[in-house]
Amino acid sequence: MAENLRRQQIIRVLPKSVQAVLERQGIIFDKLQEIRLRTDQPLFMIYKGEEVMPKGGGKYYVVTKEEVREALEYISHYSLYAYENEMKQGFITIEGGHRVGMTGKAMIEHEKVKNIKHVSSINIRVSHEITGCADDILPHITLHKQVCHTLIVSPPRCGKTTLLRDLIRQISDGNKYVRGCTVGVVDERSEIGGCYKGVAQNQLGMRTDILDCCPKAEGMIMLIRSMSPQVIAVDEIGTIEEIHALEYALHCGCKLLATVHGTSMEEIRKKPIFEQLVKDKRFERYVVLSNRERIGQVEGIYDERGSRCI
Amino acid sequence: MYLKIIGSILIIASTSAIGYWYSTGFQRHLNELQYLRQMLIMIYGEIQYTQEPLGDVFSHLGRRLKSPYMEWFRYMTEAISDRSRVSFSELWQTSVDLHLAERDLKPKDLEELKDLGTQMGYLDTETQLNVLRLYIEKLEINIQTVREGLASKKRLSNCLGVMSGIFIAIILI
Repeated sequence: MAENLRRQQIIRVLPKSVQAVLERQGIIFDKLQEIRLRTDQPLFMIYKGEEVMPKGGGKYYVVTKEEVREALEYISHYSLYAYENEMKQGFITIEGGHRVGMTGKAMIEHEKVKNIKHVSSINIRVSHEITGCADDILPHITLHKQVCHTLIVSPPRCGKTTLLRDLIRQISDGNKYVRGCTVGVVDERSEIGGCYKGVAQNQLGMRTDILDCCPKAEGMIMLIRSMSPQVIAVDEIGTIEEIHALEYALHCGCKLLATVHGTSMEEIRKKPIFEQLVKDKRFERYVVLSNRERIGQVEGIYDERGSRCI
Repeated sequence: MYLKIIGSILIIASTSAIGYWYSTGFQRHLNELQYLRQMLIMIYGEIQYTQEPLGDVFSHLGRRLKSPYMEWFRYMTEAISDRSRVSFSELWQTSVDLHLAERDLKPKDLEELKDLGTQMGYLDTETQLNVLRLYIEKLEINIQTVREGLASKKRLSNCLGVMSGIFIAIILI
């Protein structure tokens, strides 16, 4: 994504005064990871991997309640009501796939979060795709130019979604390891595609159909019935309903790409809802990630028996 | 003598025309209020059905409306996209002044329309729809009031136009 475009997408959702502070700082938006606005607290940024507190008038720039409200107006296009469902989950995806998280007072109805009011903190996470991060893994999860049923196992913040996104792109477009095929993506939290108004802002390939903000179990079945995908991709499976939907997809002849929280094959084997899947050899490949030396480090790739391939 | 007759006819014709123009003003006001109501019903339906942000609502509806409402909605779409104002109410009020001030709406109608902007865009869909519903109801009462007095006001304007012409002509003769 061009620096100027990214700059425009981020700047336009910030309060005018914060925009001026960032302009003075001469920020390169390609190197910007996060901007945090907290009521009555200094403005924070994660820039070039480090925390930065910009100054305004010699002191740290302190964000006011009005500025948080102003940012919220811009983020929601002056239409908070239109983002009710997103706010329930605590974030809104803006143009460019950047994610705006927010906290405040949760409004509860029938023991579920109905909305957030008195928003006091806003965290703008700048979207950064890493295209090509799946290059080393793809040859190990394909066979005769067809993708294998693959489960990516990874602890949080180790790059499983980034890896899944790049796998989807490569499988969808096709290359020397895999024949390009139709990929159906169920993106419950808009993390894979970073959809804005239903259109993926991240590169997911030319044969990809994405179902945004849809519960995974329901979404997988909807996709099979409506779009006949050859591959189905989902992020962070974990409930029994999702496992049932996965099995349904398997019976329908779809190849599966999924991720799950975990640190090793042993841990997956011990998880009650995955135990049977591993025993039944539902998945043909398991990719285990970690952040031991760097984010997204491949700890091992395992076959359907759970034996290490690499 | 002929000049006096021709002059009188001209005076009566002019004042009658003024009276007629004034009487059609009541009709134009009514038409404008009815169009405004129709437009707000469309906004209501669009929000209820699609729950899209206001910028998209204006963009969709702008294509279906007649001038100057079409231009007004285009302006709103662009202004929302540019985030050119701090609050929606500021943006809405500026746009009403810019696009509707010259129309056949009374200052009271414009004020009510501007007030609507202060309640748009925040809270949940239900509240948003209630705000719109309330405004539409208020608009319906205004339309009813204007419609009830319309025939008599039109007749009065027409008569006053003719009568004032005759009156002036008599004085001048």
